[in-house]
Amino acid sequence: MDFRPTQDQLALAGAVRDVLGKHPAPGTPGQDGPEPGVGGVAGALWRDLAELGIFGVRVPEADGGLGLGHPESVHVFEELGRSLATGPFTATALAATLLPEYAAGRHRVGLGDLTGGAPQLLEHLDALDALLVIEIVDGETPGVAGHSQVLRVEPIELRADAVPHPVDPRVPLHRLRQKPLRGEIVGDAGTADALLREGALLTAAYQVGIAAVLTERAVAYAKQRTQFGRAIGSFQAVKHLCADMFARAELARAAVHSAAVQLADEAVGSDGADLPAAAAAVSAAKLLADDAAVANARAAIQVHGGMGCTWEMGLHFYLKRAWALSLAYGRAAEHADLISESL
Amino acid sequence: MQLRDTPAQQRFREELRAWLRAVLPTLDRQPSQDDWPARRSYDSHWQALLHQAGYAGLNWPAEYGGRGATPTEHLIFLEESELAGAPYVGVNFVGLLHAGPTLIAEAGPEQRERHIPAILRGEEIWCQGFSEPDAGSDLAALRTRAVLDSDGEHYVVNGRKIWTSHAEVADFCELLVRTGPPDGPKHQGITWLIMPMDTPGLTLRPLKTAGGSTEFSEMILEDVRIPVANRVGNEGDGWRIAMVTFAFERGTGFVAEVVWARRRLLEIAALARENATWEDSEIRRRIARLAAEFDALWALVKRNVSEAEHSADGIPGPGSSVFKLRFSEARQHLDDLHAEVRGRDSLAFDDDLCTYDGEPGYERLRSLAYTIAAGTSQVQRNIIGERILGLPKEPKEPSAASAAKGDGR
Repeated sequence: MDFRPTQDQLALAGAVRDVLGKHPAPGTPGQDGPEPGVGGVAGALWRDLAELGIFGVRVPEADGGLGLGHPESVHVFEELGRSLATGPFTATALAATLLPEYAAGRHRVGLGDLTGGAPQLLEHLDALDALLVIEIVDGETPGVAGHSQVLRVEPIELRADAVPHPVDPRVPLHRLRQKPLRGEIVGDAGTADALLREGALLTAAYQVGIAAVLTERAVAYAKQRTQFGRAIGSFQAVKHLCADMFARAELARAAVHSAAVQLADEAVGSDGADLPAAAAAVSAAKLLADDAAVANARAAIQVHGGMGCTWEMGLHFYLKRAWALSLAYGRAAEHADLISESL
Repeated sequence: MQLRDTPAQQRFREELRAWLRAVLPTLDRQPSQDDWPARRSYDSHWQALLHQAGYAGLNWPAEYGGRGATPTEHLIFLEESELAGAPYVGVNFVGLLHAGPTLIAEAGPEQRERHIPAILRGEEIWCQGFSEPDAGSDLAALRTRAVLDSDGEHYVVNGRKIWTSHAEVADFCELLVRTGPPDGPKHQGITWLIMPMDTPGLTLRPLKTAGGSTEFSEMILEDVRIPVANRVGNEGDGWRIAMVTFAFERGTGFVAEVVWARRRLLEIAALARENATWEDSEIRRRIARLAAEFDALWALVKRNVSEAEHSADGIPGPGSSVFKLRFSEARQHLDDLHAEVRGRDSLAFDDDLCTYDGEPGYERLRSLAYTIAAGTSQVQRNIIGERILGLPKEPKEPSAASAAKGDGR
């Protein structure tokens, strides 16, 4: 057992962080940031990240990917979260595990989970080259009807209306009017489950990045801001907010890493690895990471006082993203139910 | 980043499992919690069995009779012992987790030879004389006074110690005393002494907990004479020496309990299914959330252990404060949830359990202390804030007199 990240994993995370550092997002310290491009995706950032291979982390080298595993993926996605990078990163990386042509990141792929029925809000639709749709199969074919499947849909085929005022201004939304009429079946119910599971894991990793970077920002502010003649971080009332932020981020990261390792062990069929346990671990990671991101965003705003509530301080961008992601790839109640089935 | 056993770890685990399977059925039923002589003999017997099998002092260096096991093997031992339902360390807790490691790190050769083998064999029971009525979280404010006698060979000790576990059956006490001036710098002038528990002038007063346990005592020391030869380390160096033990306590003290808590949660889930509280989605999801929390805590333990295994000194780092903080709170939620699932049954202690261990009402009351013992949650948050995050300490207190004057205005 050695649960520490390997040097290679840290190096990969470092490379991603370097690239992200060249493209600061709005809301990150000192940055109004560049205006994002069409559909809320910054083209230059996307290209640089694609060049690093982040969309094909889990795709075999023979198919043009990096040939790595879930533990490496979560390191990449924690970095994306730290930088609050916006774009269909998760969905494109998921699509690449299914269809290696997406590994190079030349296309932008979205994902819509319609198993709860339409209408549904889709992110970044104007930037997408393709959309994976997970839906329940209609009809009466035994063994198939009533189960989920994965479709690849041309965005142009969709009937959707732009949402004029998304809560998170950096992630454009469209409201889907009806289920897509045409699409190519690219996966069955098992594939759909695997996509949603991995999507939950990557989203959890992104949320850990938000939780961790906000801890750092709150701590830095608490050291520098003085009131009553001393740094506010010397007051236990503020110090303990920061300590709780740190604890939430650490615990959530441990959960994400544990889920990544269990899912990787399951993928290669290691002794003692089993899918229900790995799936429950992913759900646990998502629950804790969603909590950590949302609670830390609130706490960061609290530590920043009145300025924390302002647009220009930018902390609201993290909170809005954390809210949105906690509703992506399974809500808290769904993950809790999944865990309870394993008990 | 992986969680699999190495072949050597796998072998260690399998040998341990086989030994536990063979030896556990030979044990008597655990004695009642209030029968101290019986508890001592039960726990000592278990420790002797561990010693014969080579599992005593697992993480202690081989030159002191330990096994020299790695932190990961130690974790495997705690995990497998708990899964198999093996006895806890019990009255040997202080000797094995505090006094022993401190003696190894700091004591002279004679002191080591005198005590360490006896602790390992379960023949010598230790207790801890650190906290005082007016020195709890602020341990360095301790006032129990040790004055060198005119013979130059004894300290004469006067004061009061509190929260002393297993004092009734202990042979020795790791005692922190103030040898420096009472108004001097509080972290200096503290000395670490070995006190034989049969020394005249020592009175024990049982301190009953909210759960009814008599595990703790108050110790009253009146002109207790302790040989200077029983001092560990230099006079005035006791604070640093005591801190060595705290790192051990926070690192490993609660680890086995995570395994226990995960198993208890499965029992609660089974009970909830049986009595249909499972149909209440709020209860069901609270159970699930706690499962997520304990699994994450277990992962955090593994990360801390992996880091300790590759650190120079093998001592757990400050990351263990995160674990202590979150585990102790989760543990209280667990006991509350258990009570909620049991409903009004939770108002009665279970008569069929001859010991308190595991009795849900007792555990619920016992867990009140979890966020207090071994550093309160508030102290853990200070440690995280100051030592990990680098936030400034609180400014020094104004003197009590000037503070009182300020209040008056």
